[in-house]
Parts: sequence; structure tokens; C-alpha cells
Amino acid sequence: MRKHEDAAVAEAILQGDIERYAELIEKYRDPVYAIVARRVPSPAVAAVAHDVFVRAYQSLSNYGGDSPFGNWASRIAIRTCCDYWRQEMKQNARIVAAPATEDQRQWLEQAAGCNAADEADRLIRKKEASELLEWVLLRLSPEDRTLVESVYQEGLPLKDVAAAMGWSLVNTKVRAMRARRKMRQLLESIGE
Amino acid sequence: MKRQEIGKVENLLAATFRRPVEVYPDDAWQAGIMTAIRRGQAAARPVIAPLMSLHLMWRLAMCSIVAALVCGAVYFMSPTQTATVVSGQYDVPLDSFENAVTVVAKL
Repeated sequence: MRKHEDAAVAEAILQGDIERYAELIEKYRDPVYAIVARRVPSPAVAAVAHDVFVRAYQSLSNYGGDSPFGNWASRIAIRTCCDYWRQEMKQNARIVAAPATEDQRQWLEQAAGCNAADEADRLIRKKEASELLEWVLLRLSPEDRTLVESVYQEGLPLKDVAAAMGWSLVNTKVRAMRARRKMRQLLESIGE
Repeated sequence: MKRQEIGKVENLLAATFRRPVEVYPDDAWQAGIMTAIRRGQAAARPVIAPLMSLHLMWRLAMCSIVAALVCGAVYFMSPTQTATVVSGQYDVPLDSFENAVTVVAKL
């Protein structure tokens, strides 16, 4: 298989020319940063994205070079975000206990009854939408959260998520189905 | 809530998630990564002591072991000295309570 142009840069870095890593960061920092920014709270984005590139550097020898470095780094970004939530949930278990607010319930009712496209556009811009999304995601395990974000919200192929998380495809499918069911149950529990 | 309504809410939440992110990394952030990598690289580099020092350290270690063995042997082989105090007047050693009482009684 033909190697991607990033493979030559990675090879040079592995040979000791570490300054060339700046080229890879420069090229892929925006997409990686965007992946992280969607998944972790704003104050933590810079630190988590930093961690992604450091981890990518540390395991650069595992980069095969068949696809762009950015694709490979995206998988590391997904895993790093999952690790962030593992750490966060260990430290802040009490956040999960907070009930949904009245504003979030109202948003849910409006969303359930929404039919017009412009109304939907207005609803997704409201802060309650982000808050409710976060409320639901906080109640999922870090792995389920990663799956829901990647598969149902970002639309990534299951095989990519399976590769990123180190799971088999079948396991990922089952996990994704269960995670979605749990998310639905959570939404129903607010709407009751 | 009906299944259809839940689906609608899910779609809206997914759209909320996909909204473009308006934060972008700056050059200082990138420089921070490179600094961390350079620092990590420097820390990972093995520190090799000069050959002479290694020889010297080895010899010093051997010398201290030999010295410790010699000192230990001398210490354990030397006979135990019992300290005795002798009263100058009566030549009775003051090495027990009874002798001490005898000396005091003769004073």
C-alpha cells in the first residue's frame, strides 16, 4: 500500500529530527482541537488537546503511515477525551446527582413538539440545549459517552470508533445500542 | 414521551453537538507542545557516567567492603575487656556490690 506523505515526516521524527513534529501539529491542530472542543468543557480543551499531541508523539512508532496522521491522531483524541471523563467522574461524582432544571424540561417539551426547521435551528442555539445534552451525557459511563458522541452525534463509522477504543466491531455495536437506549431512557425520565 | 418525539429530541441534541466550535489553538499552545516534547526527549536520554568514574566507584565500593570485613573481624576476635575499678587503699576490686560494701565498711 502506498504510504501517506505524513509517513515520511513521522519517519524523520522517529530518526531523531523531533522539530519536524511541529509540521504535523500545524497541519492537524484545528481538526483535532475541534474534536476535543466538542467533547470536553471549554476550560479543559487546551490541556486535553495538548495531551493528545504529546500522546501521539509518544506512540508515533505505532502510526502505520497508510492514512493521514490526522486520522490516527483523531483516534487518540477520542480516547484522550474518554480518559478525561473517566478522571472527571472519579473526582466529581456529585455533579451527576443534580436533577434537570425547569428550563431544560421546557426546552425538552419544545423540542419534542418542534416541527418547523427554523424553530429547530432556534432551539439548538439555546444554551438549554447544550446544558441538557451535557446533563444526559454526564449520566452515561465515559465509554458510553464517547460512543454516543462519536456515533450518534458526530456520525463517525462504528469501525473507526471500535479502532479508537480498542474494541471489536460486534462489541462496539452492542455497546452503542445499549448506550443509545440508556440515553433515551434518561430523556424519557425528564419528560415524565 | 412518544418514540417519535424522543427521536426528534435526539436529533436536535445531535445538531447541538455538531455546531461549529469557535475556539482555535494559538501558536503559544503549539509551542507548549513542542517544549513538552523536547523536555521529555531530554529526560529520556540515558545518562552515561564517564568510564573512569565507574572504575573508581567500583574500586571504592570494593575497598569499603574489604575494610568493613577487616574491621568486623578485628572487633569480634578481640577479647572483651572488663572494666574494674580497684580501690587504691585496700586492693579490693569494686566490681560487685558486696566488694563495694566491704571497701566502704573499712573506711
